[in-house]
Amino acid sequence: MCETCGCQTIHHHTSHRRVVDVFEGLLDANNAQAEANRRHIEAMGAVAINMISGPGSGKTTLLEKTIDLLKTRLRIGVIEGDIETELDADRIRAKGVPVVQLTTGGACHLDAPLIHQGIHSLERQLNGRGLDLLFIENVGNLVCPATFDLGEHRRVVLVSVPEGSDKPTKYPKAFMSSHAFIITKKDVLPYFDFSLEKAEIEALKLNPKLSVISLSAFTGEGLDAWVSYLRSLENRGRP
Amino acid sequence: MHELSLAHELLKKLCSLAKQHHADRILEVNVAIGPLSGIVADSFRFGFEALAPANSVTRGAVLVIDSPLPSYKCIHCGNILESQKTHPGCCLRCNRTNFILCGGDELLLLQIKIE
Repeated sequence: MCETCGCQTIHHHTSHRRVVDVFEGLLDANNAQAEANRRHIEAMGAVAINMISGPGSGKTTLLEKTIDLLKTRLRIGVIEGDIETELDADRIRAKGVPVVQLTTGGACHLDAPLIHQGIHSLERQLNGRGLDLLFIENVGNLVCPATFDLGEHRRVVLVSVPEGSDKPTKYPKAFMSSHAFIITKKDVLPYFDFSLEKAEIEALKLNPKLSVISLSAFTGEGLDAWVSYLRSLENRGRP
Repeated sequence: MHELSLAHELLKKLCSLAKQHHADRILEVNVAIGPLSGIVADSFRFGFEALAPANSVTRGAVLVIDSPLPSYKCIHCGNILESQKTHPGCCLRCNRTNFILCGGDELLLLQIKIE
């Protein structure tokens, strides 16, 4: 008897139409790798932060300042994601911390398998030294990166003042899936029609648990709140 | 743009499911793509239909996309609302405005029809 459908022939069961319930996530493969990355990063002793924003919001500049402020107290590593070039990695390398550049070759986001490679490259640079904070700077894009778990412990979404305070409303997924919302380039507020209050209210409507910090990496205003946020992750141990 | 890579992942998954169930062809594929999943259903369909003919197992497979309505739970009173929007506005029971998303961001392969 056919084992698949119970009919009386042995060999022809493949011609029978049948329905198979699957019920698996389309992102299951990515998510399984992300979970493995998270465990791997924890085994290194680190907390990982995935930074998501549109191009030009100041992710790399904020990272440079963060490294300046924290590198004597914490061991920092960076994975840089870009479509092309090593430009961002060069800027971070100049700060004297281990950095890996991932180029996606056209893809609009980082995914967990790429980060897996990145972690291994970073480990070769670390050569047995531990890590406290791992920053992952995603490809500049406020849309696609929001869908992909990389294995981070905290996701941070950034919007700069020139981009406008309507960004949370227009790109909800990035805000719904993040833990913190950083408003950058606060020093140029007088020249733009940007409402800090509106941006915060709209973001909190989408995600009431968001921590909201506004800062300027240029003047240093607000960097203390950002540093406290990062240190709270470290003090809390693994989130 | 990431819809194409997800469609490619799905097609790989379908080929391995066909093998696992000793099937020659995938006839129909049922997926759920919530409006808040970050995936544009039309782009996903475009990617699927562009890539499916490349393999005899998936050639001609019909893609059926279910799009569940987003649902939200009020964090103050627990009331559940459905809304097409990314924010449901005010809670109809307590009039407050803080919600947790509890549906509408699904990205699932539900069922396949094979032969």
